Amino acid sequence: MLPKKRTMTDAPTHEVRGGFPVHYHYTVGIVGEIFFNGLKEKKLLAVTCDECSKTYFPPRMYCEDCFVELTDKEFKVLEQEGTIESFTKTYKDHRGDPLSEPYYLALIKINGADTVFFHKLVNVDEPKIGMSVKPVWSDSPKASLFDIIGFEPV
Amino acid sequence: MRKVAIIGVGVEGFRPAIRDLSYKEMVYRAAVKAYTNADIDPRKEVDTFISCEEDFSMGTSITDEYAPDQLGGAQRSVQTITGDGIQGMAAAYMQIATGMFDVAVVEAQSRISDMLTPNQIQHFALDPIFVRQFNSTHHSIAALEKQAYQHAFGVSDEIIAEVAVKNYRNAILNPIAAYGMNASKEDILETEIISAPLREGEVAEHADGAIVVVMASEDIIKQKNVTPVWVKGISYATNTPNVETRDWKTATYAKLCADRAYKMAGITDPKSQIDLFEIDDTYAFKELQHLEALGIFSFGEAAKALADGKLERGGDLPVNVSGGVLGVGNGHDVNGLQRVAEIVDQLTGEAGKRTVSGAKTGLAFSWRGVPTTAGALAILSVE
Ligand SMILES: [Zn+2]
Repeated sequence: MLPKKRTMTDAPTHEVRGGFPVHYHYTVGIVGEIFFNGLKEKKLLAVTCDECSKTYFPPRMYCEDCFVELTDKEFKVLEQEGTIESFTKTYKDHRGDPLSEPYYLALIKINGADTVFFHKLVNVDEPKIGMSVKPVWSDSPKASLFDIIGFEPV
Repeated sequence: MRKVAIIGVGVEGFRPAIRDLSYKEMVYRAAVKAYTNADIDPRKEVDTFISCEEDFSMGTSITDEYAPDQLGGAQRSVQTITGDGIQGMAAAYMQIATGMFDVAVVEAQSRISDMLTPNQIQHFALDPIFVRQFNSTHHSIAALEKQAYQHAFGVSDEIIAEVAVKNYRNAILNPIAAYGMNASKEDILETEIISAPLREGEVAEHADGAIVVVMASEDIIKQKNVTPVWVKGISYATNTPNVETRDWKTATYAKLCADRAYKMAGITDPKSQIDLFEIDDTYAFKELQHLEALGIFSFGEAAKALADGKLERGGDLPVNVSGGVLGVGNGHDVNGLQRVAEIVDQLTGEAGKRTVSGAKTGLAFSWRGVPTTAGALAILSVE
């Protein structure tokens, strides 16, 4: 092991503790509502920019390349299959503490989309970039990111 | 437009944790060194002060309100930039080049040891709707990028570990570095997996420290007994920040920075016109990915240059002679000024045993870390 862990090189004489609780409720937005309501119906909804033909999944109010509004476009239903663009097996939680059950996170390009979707992989031993995957749906979807339990190999 | 140069740099730290000095005392110490080197009285001769810091990092809301006095900047023009120190230098450059001010001071610091929950603060930087809902370390974003980079260009974990070996070793000779050490490739590859394929040994450990940089117009420099290090090119850029649309294989933000700064500095062949490179290596693979995006090597070729020894202090293209962020220690918004401080030392003959002989021009590139796709770049020269 590397002798790399941080150590307190100088003992503090006095220190004062402080902190404050911060909590928010983030608004998902007009197009976010459409996306999350789609999940509730087990649908993957996307939108395409007419100017550059880029298809966004999740959908957006505007194309970030062309800066044109997409809200008035038809939201199309993508097929329930995509490919792994990258993946990681994560061993630490958001605090940096070990996860009791390490799990896979991945970037998934849903067929027909030009963007990637950040989600979990499930029921997989050795994922590979380029592997085809499909969503595993919750039995009781409620318009949440976790209506999709994860993506598993096709 | 007037020419602009760095005329003095002061560093306090870096140490894994500074527990004796308060953050103000730490910055004051760095400032005194910078003003001594620049032969300048901050209470009489500095026109404006730019502090680069963020509320969450500093542990105080509206933390910019607390920036002036430790720099000698009370009752003066002071601004805060929530970004890398090189972004602060870009603001100072513009203010001096346009004639608005003659002398500007840029400061950045790290007091990460003051944070009791540093991982949560970084996790809180993730997109709240589509990314942060997963209970995973923020390092998993870098792990996804490392995997995509390795897969696209055939770069092995072994060669990426060699980046860390080089930079930890280089740091041994750098008095400001917190993590100088002789580690083997095997040592790195045996460290704990954080988020595969990312291991602890290839992730820069936090360190505390402060850097103050004094910049001045050519008119002022004529009146001073200082060695100016001219800012030939300076730029900053952000690729799209969204995980859905960003480039996962290459560091587009670095290319955007390079395109602008090379044009400004008249650099057409960076390999022959630049003598040394200080490049963000917060994650070891980033050094290779950044070098390629900066146009120093084609994609996948930086690893070969490393294996051939070209990136060593005595090689054709020395990279991170300071030890980089891995060796000096990750101070977040001060990382860019760490890179600048090394180049100034090298170009002014203050680098001691680290000296890259004959170096006249250097490139400093900084990245703002996960989850950003933001970079800043400075090309510095004594010619
Ligand atoms: Zn478009």
